[in-house]
Amino acid sequence: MTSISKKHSLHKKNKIRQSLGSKIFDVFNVSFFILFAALIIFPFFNIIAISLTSNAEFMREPFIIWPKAPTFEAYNYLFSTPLIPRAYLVTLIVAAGGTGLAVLVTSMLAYGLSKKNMRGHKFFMIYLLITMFFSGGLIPNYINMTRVLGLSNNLLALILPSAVNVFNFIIIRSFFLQLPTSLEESAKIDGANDLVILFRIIYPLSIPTLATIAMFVAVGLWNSWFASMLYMRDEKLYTLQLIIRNYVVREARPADMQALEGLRDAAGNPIHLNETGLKMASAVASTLPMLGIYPFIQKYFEKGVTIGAIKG
Amino acid sequence: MQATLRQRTSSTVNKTALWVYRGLMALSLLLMLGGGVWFVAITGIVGHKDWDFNTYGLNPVLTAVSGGFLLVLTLIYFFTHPGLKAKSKPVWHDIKRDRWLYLLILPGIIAVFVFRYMPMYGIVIGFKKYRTKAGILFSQWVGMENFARFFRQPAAKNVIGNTLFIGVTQLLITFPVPIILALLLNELKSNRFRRSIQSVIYLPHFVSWVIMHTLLFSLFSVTSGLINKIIMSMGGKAINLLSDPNNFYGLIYGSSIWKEAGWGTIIYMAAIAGVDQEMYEAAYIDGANRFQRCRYITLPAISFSITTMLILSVGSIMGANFDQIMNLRSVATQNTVAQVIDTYVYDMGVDKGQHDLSTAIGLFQQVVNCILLFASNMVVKRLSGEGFF
Repeated sequence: MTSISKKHSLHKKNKIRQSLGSKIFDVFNVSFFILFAALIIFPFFNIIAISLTSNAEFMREPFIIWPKAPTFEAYNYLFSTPLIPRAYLVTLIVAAGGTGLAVLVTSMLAYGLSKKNMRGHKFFMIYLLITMFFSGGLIPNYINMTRVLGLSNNLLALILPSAVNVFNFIIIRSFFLQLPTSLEESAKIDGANDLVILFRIIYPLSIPTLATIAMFVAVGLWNSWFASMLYMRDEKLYTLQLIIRNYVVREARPADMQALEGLRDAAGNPIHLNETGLKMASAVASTLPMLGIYPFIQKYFEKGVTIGAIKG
Repeated sequence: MQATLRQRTSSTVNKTALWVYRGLMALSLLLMLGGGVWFVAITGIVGHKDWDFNTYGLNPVLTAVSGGFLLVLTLIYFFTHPGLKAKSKPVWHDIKRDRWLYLLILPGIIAVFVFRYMPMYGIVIGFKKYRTKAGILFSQWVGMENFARFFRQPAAKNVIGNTLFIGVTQLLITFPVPIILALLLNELKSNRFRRSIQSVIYLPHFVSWVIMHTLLFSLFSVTSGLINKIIMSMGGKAINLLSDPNNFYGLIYGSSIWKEAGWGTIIYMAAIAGVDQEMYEAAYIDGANRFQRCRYITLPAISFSITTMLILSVGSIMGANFDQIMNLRSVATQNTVAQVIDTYVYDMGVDKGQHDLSTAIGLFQQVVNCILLFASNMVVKRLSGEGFF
């Protein structure tokens, strides 16, 4: 505790003697957060443990914190069926396409509308803000997408609607508004048009903000299952989350896994896979990319959220 | 500098000519809009696709076309009248100067139109008896019948009650948690420890509700969940968290806090980071203890963030947790405690194919949501003088 309190500037500078109550509070506070963090990490730890447990051990032991003989058979099986690799590809296409489109279109819109002297600026702002409070609703959206635009069973139905999100638009626009105008003006005098200014001057300055937005959109798309369920009829076009939802939440084993019972190893002996482990393995596999990029993006998103909060 | 580069150019215009132009413009737009509404209305009254266009459709179309004709004339008048030329010139000048900006916003404006505005036309099926064959346009008008049908159903009371109950209690229970967490985080003395805790507690936000269900399933499944297995190995009785209706509210509040409370602290932590450290030191010298410093310095610093978040939360009382409930409800709970308006709209519209009823319920929900949002904004404005819009 003493080494910890030394780091705090206030206490370091003034050499404050803490009261007993304050010390007790510190102990309580630190233990509370350790407990809270453990509570958050443990479920993840648990699904990884189950995904690595063999069927025999899962059936035999009353409960398992960590398997005695960890095995990757669930993962081997999952990636041997076409299901998960294909869903990975589909989800990757949707997430990458949607994110690229969203960042490009939203930032262009935000830049254009950050120039308040443009004719029609107010009209376009109201035009966008209305969609925050009012939307067609589930069925009108569905009819529009399938019958008017004819995008059912087409991955574009998952990618295109993410092009503009008004919340993200507001975040990017308020970032652009606080940029100093002097750079733009000198470029303007040199004869650059707005397009050149945006791509050559503004974008390089806004990488952290745009990265934050890209991350929000990518996480949203990676985690989405509802649009996929509404618009995709072919199981081959399902996103990862939808497949896991059908498998775990609705307990319907995917078509590609129907052969689970007749599974044989190389010598022809039947293999019994731990089905709970299989479910957990698919969940882990779908979450891993998100957890993998998390440390790299963490420093960005705190800033991004704050920009949005100031503007509201 | 900015002013000279992007200033609206202006000059004097002939006032009378301007009013004539405005009147003609309004009239032509009115004619076009009226014709359109008339056309949509009459198709719904005729109600079948092989209709007699000359009897019903000709008049509204002629109205709209005459409006369009008038619009063209008005524009010609606008650009040729000598008294208006002075006005028209700067408009054109400005638009031409900003042509690249218009090009930049064009894709976004089109995307919003196609994916946000075009569906809004579909709201009319809330007032129609929708038949897929007839399409939106040619389905018969039924007025408020769909709304009446919803409120006549015995499920309606349950659904609205559940939505409000879950919305209000979830707000009351989960809203203060991030604030308390942020205040406690601020009291942690080691920066490194605080950073690591923050990294951990932000994490669940990035996990989908589908995975959330999986996590809960791995712990609380009656047959294979870890916690239940431990309980049973000690001779206890398994907790049926996922499908016992009695445990549903606990499940909802608990999972909300677990998943989003940590993430919710970001906004408050950012506000706290903006507080001048010298304020704390001055307060300390004046003899304020830790609790008082927290109460009189930190809390006021984040009050604006609290207000903002509160307005947003109240505005979404009627439906902020669709994803959560869709993934955490079970066969045992989906028609009782877990049936809220959002899930009911989904069940009716997608599962049962009652598009018109579902749209009407969705519209009802949206209107209530809007009222709540503006009402909460007004109340907060009265109380604290700080509103959101």
